[in-house]
Amino acid sequence: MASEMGVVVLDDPANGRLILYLSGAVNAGSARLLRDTARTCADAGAGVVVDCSQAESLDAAGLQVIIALSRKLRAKNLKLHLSQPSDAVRAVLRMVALGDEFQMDGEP
Amino acid sequence: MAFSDKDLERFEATFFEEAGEHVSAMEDALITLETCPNDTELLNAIFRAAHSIKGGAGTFGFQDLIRFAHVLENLLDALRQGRKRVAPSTSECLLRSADALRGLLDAARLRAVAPDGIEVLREALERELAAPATETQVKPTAPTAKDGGGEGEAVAVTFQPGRELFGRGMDPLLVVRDVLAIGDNGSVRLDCSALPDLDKLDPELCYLRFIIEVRTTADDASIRDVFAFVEDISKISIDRRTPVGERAAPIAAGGASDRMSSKEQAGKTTTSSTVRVSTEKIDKIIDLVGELVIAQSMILAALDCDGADSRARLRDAAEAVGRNTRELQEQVMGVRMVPVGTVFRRFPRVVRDLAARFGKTIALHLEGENTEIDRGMVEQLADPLTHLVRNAIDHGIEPPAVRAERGKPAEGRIVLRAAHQGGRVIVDISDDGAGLNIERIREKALALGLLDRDADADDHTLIAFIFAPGFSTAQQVSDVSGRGVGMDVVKRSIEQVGGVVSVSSVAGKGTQFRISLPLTTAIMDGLSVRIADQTFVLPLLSIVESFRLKPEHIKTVLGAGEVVRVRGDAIPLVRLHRELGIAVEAADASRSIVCVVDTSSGRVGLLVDELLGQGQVVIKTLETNYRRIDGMVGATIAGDGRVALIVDPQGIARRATLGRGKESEHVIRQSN
Repeated sequence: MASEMGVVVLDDPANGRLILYLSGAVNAGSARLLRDTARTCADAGAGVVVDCSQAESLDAAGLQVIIALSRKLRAKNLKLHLSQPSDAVRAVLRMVALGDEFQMDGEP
Repeated sequence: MAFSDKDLERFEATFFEEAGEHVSAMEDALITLETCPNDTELLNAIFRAAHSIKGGAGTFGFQDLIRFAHVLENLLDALRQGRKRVAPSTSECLLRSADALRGLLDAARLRAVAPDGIEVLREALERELAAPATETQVKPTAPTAKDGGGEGEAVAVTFQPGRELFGRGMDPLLVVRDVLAIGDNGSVRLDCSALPDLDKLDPELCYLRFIIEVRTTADDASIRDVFAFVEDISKISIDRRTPVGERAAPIAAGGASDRMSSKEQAGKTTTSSTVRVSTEKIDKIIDLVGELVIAQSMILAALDCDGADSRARLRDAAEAVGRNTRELQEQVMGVRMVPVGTVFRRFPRVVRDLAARFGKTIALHLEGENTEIDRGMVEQLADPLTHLVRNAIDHGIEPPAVRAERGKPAEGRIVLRAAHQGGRVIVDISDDGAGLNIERIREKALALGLLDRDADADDHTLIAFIFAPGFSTAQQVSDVSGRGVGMDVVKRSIEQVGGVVSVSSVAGKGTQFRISLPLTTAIMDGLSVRIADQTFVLPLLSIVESFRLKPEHIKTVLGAGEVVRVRGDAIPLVRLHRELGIAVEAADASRSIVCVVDTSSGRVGLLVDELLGQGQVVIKTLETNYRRIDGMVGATIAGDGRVALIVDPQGIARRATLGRGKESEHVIRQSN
């Protein structure tokens, strides 16, 4: 069974950003936690790097929270960058062609 | 929307149940496919079954299952698209794959390692898939999907999932992936225009809309098939004139399932309810509950009235409650009923495999598959039926050459038939084989000491010996049958659910077993009896007769304990109060009643103090509410609110006669 989502937020003041580490299954079961964490990040007034290297999966519920976070940040002239997406996450993001929404490692 | 462990356990249990159904459906279709290798609908059905299993396995992370189902799915996809031909070897390979899926499901359920041979079979499937197409390969008559190559028509599918889709445990991305899989050069545009601000976003609702563009030869119906699990709460439109857009990114090459990791393949199957009840049935039940509420109001109103008026109103209300309760009971019991076909469906495969193994040609005919049977009975029926069918194949149906010599068609015939009859379910298992060898049964019964040499036993009596423990007349023991282990178990299994099994046979013509089962295991007809100050219930079906005991009818036989004479026969007598450890005052045997019950080891007289009356009782399991009690089948709540234990005559007889053994039985016979 896929492991539950883990979420850790680290402050990276040197680069003026927060790093949001996601692990396990980012899905409907964990979307509320992700949404609440994303709100906290958005309110911090810094760009956000979402590290998905340990994310085992990403479903539509998780995806829409990340998109909403990206939009919230953009409204504040801040950016969301998806870092080191796991194969599972990369496959989802490629499938739905989200290049306009945020930057991702390895993508133009 | 966090799922508790209990939720996940429930989802997982649902997955295993539905996956099992998918494997059975797949197996049925594969058997039919052998005679209709070009039937695209069958291939589609098999593909969908494998696909659903893989999807569900993905949800729970059963990696071995996912890996195997993925390869199987790829081969099935090639077959349904006509890229490969269904050869006999393919069919065999696919049937073995169905077995493998069962094994993998069991392993996943038990958190055990995958069964042996899975990898070998997986590699065989991959080899089959990789083998080049031959000229003999057949294109299906109505292809519904398109493989790579950029052929087909550009189709734009707009998919707007219902807001509550997540609540069903479904991921729309999986549906999108499936749509892409039916064609080539696919792309997806994600419409997030309905997505609210992060602060207002409800994570349990789906705000996304997908525009999927794909080039495919699949027709609209096939495309809509992909949405089968979500269409009731989603908006789906298919536009065949829209050219494939340029904006969306092309999908990376590779198998459909490569596009997402297996972990992401949340299962469609987990959302379906495991109990499928028609809305009409539910509406009827709700109506009846409403009637009961009204009746309750009538009772309350009657209590406010005076004297005779109150009594009359109470009587009317009680009648209404009784009427509605009976009807409600019938309706609720109906919810538990499933078609007997759920048991029958395993037999085409059993017959196919065993007939091939024994070099026999056998046609299986199934009749009355829609006859409904209690859900709890299905599992109890499966093993006995399997045993009887295996016996029919192994010992009943003769080899083709022998049949030819006897003037029979080379192809043997086994019929499984179910029907409702007199408030019971009757299941017949008949074959047109050699029939039971009565003489051999007689010899065996004599050899085992079950029959006196000078006894004048008729065929019916002799045939009944096949249900004796350790009785077998098979000349050759196979691993299928003939070890003498089974028919007694068959009888006991059926009796445990209140059923009766009988057999008739005509030499050279065939054998028929008839299983008669009650409609339900949850409610039964019982006879309430008193023992000291306690009430017990005896299953009415097992009671042959009851009579007031005369002390002179009781005899004590050496090694056999007390017996009671009934029309010349001596049957073991069990004083239930003694057996159950109930203290009684000095018993006056002449006031006691003997209830003669039928058990698999013969008739037994159960001594009780009084017969209280008969009626239907609702069986409550002891294990759930207390613990198992040897000799008791369950408990029920009597009209006065007290708990009454339901006696298992078989268990009581076994318990009471423990240690008496065959020697004592022999003594009893001699005493007659």
